[in-house]
Amino acid sequence: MLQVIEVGDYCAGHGKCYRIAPELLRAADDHGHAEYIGPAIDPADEAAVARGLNAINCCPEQALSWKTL
Amino acid sequence: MSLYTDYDHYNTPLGPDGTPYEYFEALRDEAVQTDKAIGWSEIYGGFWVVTGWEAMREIQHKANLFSSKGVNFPTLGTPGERPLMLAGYDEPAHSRYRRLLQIPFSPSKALEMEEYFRKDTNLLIDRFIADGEVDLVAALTQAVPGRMTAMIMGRPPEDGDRYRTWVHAIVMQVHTDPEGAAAHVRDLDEHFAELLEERRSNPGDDILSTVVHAELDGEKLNDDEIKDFFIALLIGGIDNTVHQLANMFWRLAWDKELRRQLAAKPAMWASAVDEFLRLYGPAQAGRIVNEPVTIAGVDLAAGQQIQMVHPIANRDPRQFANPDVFIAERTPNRHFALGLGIHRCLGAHLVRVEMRIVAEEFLRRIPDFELSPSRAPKWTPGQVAGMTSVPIVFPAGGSVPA
Repeated sequence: MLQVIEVGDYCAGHGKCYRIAPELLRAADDHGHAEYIGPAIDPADEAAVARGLNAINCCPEQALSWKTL
Repeated sequence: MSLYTDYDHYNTPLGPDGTPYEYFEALRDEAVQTDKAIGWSEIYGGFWVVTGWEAMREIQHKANLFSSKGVNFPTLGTPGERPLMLAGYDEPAHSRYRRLLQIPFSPSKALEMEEYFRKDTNLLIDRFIADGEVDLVAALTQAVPGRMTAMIMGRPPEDGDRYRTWVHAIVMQVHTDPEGAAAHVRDLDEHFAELLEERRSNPGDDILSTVVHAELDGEKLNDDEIKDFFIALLIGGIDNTVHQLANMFWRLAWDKELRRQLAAKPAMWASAVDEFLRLYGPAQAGRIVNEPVTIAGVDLAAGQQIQMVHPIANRDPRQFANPDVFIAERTPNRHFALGLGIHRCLGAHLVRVEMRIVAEEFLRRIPDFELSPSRAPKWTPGQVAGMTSVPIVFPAGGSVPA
């Protein structure tokens, strides 16, 4: 099952995720809230999963998580 | 006796290096060993001291249970009876005001400031590079934020000197020299009145013009609200950033190996900035308990004051491996230096750019420097704590890194 990163309500616009993984996330508004722009990730693609995990783990609010499509 | 009992952020014991970090580590060790993320201090009539990362995260996410009216504790220096704009407000007023300033402090606007910071940093370095010695706080880390704040207010950078003086009067001098501070506050009032009139009749694209002409629910802000914004922008833009930059340069001055790593891999700066924030972020934040609640096994009663000691939570080994070691590429790095939740620092995107560019330019021009052997660095404690003097020596004219 493919997966993407879901941005939860706790996102406060720190912007660390899209600085670490600009290919996966970007600022969605002037506040800096994050938005997922990457492709759906195959869990078997270890490198892509690692990049996604880096972005998820860096969030100070712990607002990011995997969402299975 | 517990180190919690005498905890006083305005009187933190200093170690051999002139900073309280050794003391913070000791209190952190006690908190971890006794599994007490929150302890009671008897100072100022008694207040809760929060040191655990998980507890601090929970408090900042439960903004409805903890009022930001207690953000400054004890209440010191802010003029008038009104809370500090934004930082001292709770919802819904906080978000109502904050949205006025989202665009000027957006991630994209912060990146647009890169070139400004590069030019201004070099202009300031030009003034002392031939000397071979300088107090970095006086010559650089105070000047850059002051000048930047003046500039985004639509004023000449030179006004930054006055702005820094007023911030110092509001947050520090008021305790040691109230009459002197009052004189500075009168200057501030006079300047603000002139600026307000000017921006009303002749608006520019600066932040103050934005606030003056903004409407909330169909009404313009009154003079008190605009002045509160002005003061909050001065304090937020200058006080915190001056200490953050000073603390960063203090570390760089004695850590040649770190300077070598950053010179060898400049891309590392993106993550290194957050490691400087984690270990040397200057700010702490208070809250008042709104209703009885249990956090980390501690029963907090309504009306009690709590103080979140970010520099200790940012050294919590349950969240950060090797917490006392500077790891430039640390990931994840979920520190609290710029706040959390609804009170995430408004200038967070800007300060990261400011730190990176000022450090990059300084290290490019003066790659080799060290703390002065004859003049010791100086530290000031408090709600916003940090270096107030970082004297360094370096080869006159700068040098090429080895």
